[in-house]
Amino acid sequence: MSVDADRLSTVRALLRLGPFVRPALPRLIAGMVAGLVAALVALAIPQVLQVLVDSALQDGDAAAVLPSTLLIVGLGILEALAILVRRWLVLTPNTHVEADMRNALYAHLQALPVAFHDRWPSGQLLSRAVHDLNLIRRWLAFGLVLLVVNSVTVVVGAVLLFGIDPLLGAVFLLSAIPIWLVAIRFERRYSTAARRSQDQAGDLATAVEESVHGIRVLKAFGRGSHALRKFEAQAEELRGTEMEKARAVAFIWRWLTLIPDGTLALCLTVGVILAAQGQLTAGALVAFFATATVLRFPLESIGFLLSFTLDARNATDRFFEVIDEPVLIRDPERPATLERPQGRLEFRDVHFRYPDAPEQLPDLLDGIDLVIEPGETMALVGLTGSGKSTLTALPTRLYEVTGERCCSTAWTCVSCASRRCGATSRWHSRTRPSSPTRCARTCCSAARIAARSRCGRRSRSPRPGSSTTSPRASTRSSARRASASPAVSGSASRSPAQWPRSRPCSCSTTRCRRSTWRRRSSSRRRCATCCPRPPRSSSPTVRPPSSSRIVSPCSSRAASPRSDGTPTCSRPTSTTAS
Amino acid sequence: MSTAVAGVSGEERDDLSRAESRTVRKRSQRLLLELLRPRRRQIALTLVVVIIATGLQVAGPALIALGVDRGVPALADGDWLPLALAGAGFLLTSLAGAALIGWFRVLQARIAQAVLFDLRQRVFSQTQRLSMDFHESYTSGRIIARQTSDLDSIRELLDEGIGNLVSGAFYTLFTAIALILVDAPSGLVLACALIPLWFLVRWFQTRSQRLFRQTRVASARLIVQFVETMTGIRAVKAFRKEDRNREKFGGLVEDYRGANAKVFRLFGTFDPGLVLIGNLTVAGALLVGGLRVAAGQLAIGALLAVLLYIRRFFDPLEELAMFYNGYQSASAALEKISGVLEERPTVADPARPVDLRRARGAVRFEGVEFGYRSGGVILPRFDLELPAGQTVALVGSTGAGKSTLAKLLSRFYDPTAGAVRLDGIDLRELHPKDLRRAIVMVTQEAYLFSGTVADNIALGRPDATREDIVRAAKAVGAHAFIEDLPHGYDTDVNKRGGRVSAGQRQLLSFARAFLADPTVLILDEATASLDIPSERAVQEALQTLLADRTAVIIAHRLSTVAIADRVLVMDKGRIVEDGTPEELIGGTGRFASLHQAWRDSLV
Repeated sequence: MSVDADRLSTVRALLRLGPFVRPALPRLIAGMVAGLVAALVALAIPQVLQVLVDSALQDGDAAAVLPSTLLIVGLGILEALAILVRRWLVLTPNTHVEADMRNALYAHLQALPVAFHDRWPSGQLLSRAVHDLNLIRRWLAFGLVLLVVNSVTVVVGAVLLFGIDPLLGAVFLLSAIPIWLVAIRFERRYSTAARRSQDQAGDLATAVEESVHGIRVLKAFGRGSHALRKFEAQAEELRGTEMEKARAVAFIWRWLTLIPDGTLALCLTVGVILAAQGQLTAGALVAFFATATVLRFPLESIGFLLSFTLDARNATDRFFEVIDEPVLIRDPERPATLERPQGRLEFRDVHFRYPDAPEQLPDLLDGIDLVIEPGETMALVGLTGSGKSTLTALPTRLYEVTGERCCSTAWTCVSCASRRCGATSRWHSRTRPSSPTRCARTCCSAARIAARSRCGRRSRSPRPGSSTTSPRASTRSSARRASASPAVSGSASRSPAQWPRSRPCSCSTTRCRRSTWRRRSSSRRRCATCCPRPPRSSSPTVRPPSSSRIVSPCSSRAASPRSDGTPTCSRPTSTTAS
Repeated sequence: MSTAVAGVSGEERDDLSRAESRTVRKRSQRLLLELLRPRRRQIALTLVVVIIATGLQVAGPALIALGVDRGVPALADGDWLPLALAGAGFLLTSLAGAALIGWFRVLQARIAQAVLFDLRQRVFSQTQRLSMDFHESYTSGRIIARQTSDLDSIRELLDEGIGNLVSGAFYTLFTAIALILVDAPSGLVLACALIPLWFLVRWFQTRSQRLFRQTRVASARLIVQFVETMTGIRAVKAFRKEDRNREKFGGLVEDYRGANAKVFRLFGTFDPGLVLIGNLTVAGALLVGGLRVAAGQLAIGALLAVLLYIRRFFDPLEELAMFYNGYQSASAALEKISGVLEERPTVADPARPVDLRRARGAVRFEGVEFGYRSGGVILPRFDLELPAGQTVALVGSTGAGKSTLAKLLSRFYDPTAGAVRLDGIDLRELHPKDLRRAIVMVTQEAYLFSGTVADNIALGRPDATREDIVRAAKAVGAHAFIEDLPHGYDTDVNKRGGRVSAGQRQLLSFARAFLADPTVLILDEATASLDIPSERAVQEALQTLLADRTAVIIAHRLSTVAIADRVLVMDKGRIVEDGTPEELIGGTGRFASLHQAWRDSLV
């Protein structure tokens, strides 16, 4: 059937359901068998009629009517029983399949990193968890079973029709060809429209979500009608697509009504001619039409079942779209346990970039070295967008370190969390997720990393003084500082090479330092600010054993050469700052 | 009687009394009629088309009977006419029937889509119209569910259900009529079959009603848990709630599964029951008809037609039962939607609005008192006058009532007593357009809508040119970071590379307000996420921006307060200090001590 080059065929795509369906498979197959029995019994009834009409009724033998009727009653009960068995066999295991898939999806979604959730609106996930899985279950219970049962029924019925009369059977069978052609054409038309309508419905749902979540903004500016107009335009688009779908459905209905009825008309003509010539008995004619009527539903249902199958395939694709998403932040296989966490948190040459960051931008966190000693309170200070919240999201493993330089040894603390502490890591280190914005409230209020994971024990011992930190601020935010900080000029040109890689930190660190010094009046607090502060960067001994500090991820690509273990804030060669 | 279920109250209840559910049902029927009335003609045309189409489809077996009974003997005599009539008639009816059926499907979809569009639009604009107290009590998840999953169940019914119901109902009706026309005694057999059929359907209806409701309740719970997890994924991960969540969700999934399984079991009994009754009816008709054929009272072809008709009579019944499922969830959905539509905004638009072309910006709170509906006074009675052009800072601890006061001024809420006046006009009488043009509030949560950065700023004034937008962005110091985004002002905030931090969001929402250029500007902790340089830039902008307009600033940073002409200190809903910053700093009150603490932190 019509398949894009890079898409799996419908069968292969649906086969991916295998692992989930396997437990239900025996009963599913048993259900199919029961369905087949029902279909065959239904086909047997016309044959009884043929015998009855030919043997008894033509001769006016009323006595033969009762036994035949009883036989049909028996067959009728058998058919109903077989359908009952089919239904009851199929229904429970299928609900289990659906439940398993739903639980698997949920568990997987919980395991997926926050970066994934940033990309996917919850509405899209919800429609997969509810609507798509419902559809798959219905398809397994009815679509798949009936597709198999009806196909077999059509074949068996065709054989029976051939048995009644080869010519009539051939005429009837020929009608299957246009039905197939129509079905294929329908599939092409319908599936593209269906996929598009699913997407548009998703967009519409997003618009609804935004109008509710952003209600305060819309109200404050009185933009309700503005949002409504936008929404109407989207709804109008969806309506257009839905009408396209409806026209495709009308197309198949038209043909699926015309072809079987037209065939019957043709068969009637042929049958009557044959009967008039004496080549066909009245009973055979009756049996033929009765059988054809039984076959009518299976034949007609093919189109519907095909579009059902396509819908199920789309739903399966959408389900696996999420399931295939790799869980990059895994709990370790053999998690280490921190018996008595002391809270030494170490970042070593940590790199991080958001997966959707444009190529030309350097890493948001570009080689961070930082040690936070047990009990130390660190304030993280920096410009808007410089990566403060991102840095605090790393110890809790809401995001995972990226970049080739963050090999496991270079990244001790969080690698400790990722490789050994595992599940416990989040117990020990915890950000307050609801208030990542607070860290910027004042220069001196800290983004508290209340980290307690003790990582130093089994990691390589940290080099002394590798603490001075300067995650490179995202340059896009630093350019904005041109007005505030006179040192940054010429940042208007934005080719990557010319980006101001290093410049004086323009945040008000002096004030921080003063305040911290003053309030604690001891060396237990210090301002580990970045560049270029010669006294600090040249002094390897500044770091007190335990302190509360202010670390400022500011606008420089700092702390790159650490071969001597000295905290430096050197400027990279490409610097444009004075 | 009706008040208990008015609006959205009673939506979550399972135990509606008879009278209450009748009220709710009537309400949703009224809505349905309202939706259908403008499309009366279309509906009539559709009905005519479907009646003719099913009528033509039903002709088939009668024509077969004609062919078999008349055609065979006539043809044996060399008379082709009966056969030609039957054959051509059959072909023509199937052609016309097919064409009409196709047309019917398109017509039906057109009506369905128009109704859906109408309903979507109504709920959306109602959502926008309803006041904040509604939004704060009726969770966002529920209002979203009304517009998504509930509309979906209505869509399913309109898409498939109604069409199948109408065509199915006419099909059975016409089949029964045709049966009686072909052979009246067989009609009696069918009539006998209707008795057990009626009982079966009755039983199914009563059972399914309860079971479907259980399914819906279970699925609603499931959805809530799912959405809560996904929207709060950060908290889930930070607090390692995954396992507990999984357990909880697993339980809900199992409930839903159980409820569904019960429904399927019901169908699993109902459907074979239908087949059984159908088959027994066929047998009965065969017995009656066969005896009469043997006695020569009935032609064989007629017997065939009888059997075909009876079989076809039962064909659509299964679908009709399926319709019942869709109908129930759709009508439950419609009941809920009609509840939302019935809600009246507590902050209503005035019936006869007063126009205010150019506000000066003098604000007066006259004997204003405020408390939430749930009880408890938040702001006891107070009077307050803000002369035009004054910049007022509201200071006070969390929960002191600062934001509430701001919400009254921006008319997110109406006071429970007294009045808030702008230039002497009660806000409740002001035209909403003028109100929103004159008074704009910027809140701490800076929400960005999908679309470009420019779109988001332009929300402040939709007809703004690009130059206006850039000027606004420059004024609040957002220009530089926007320029650094991959596509500058055309960067999609939800797409690749469009990530903006909380502080940058606030700058954007600030630019929005700048662009809106209101007479009265309320900043509710609007600078909370800004870093110091940004805030300074904003404050510089503020000083020019606020020069000739009234402003109310809620801030925890005293630096912001410094630009104010006047400071109000609030505590437990009361204004406890009122004066210029200098006066208050010089005094011995709360503000003086606050200021001292702040100064200490600076040195």
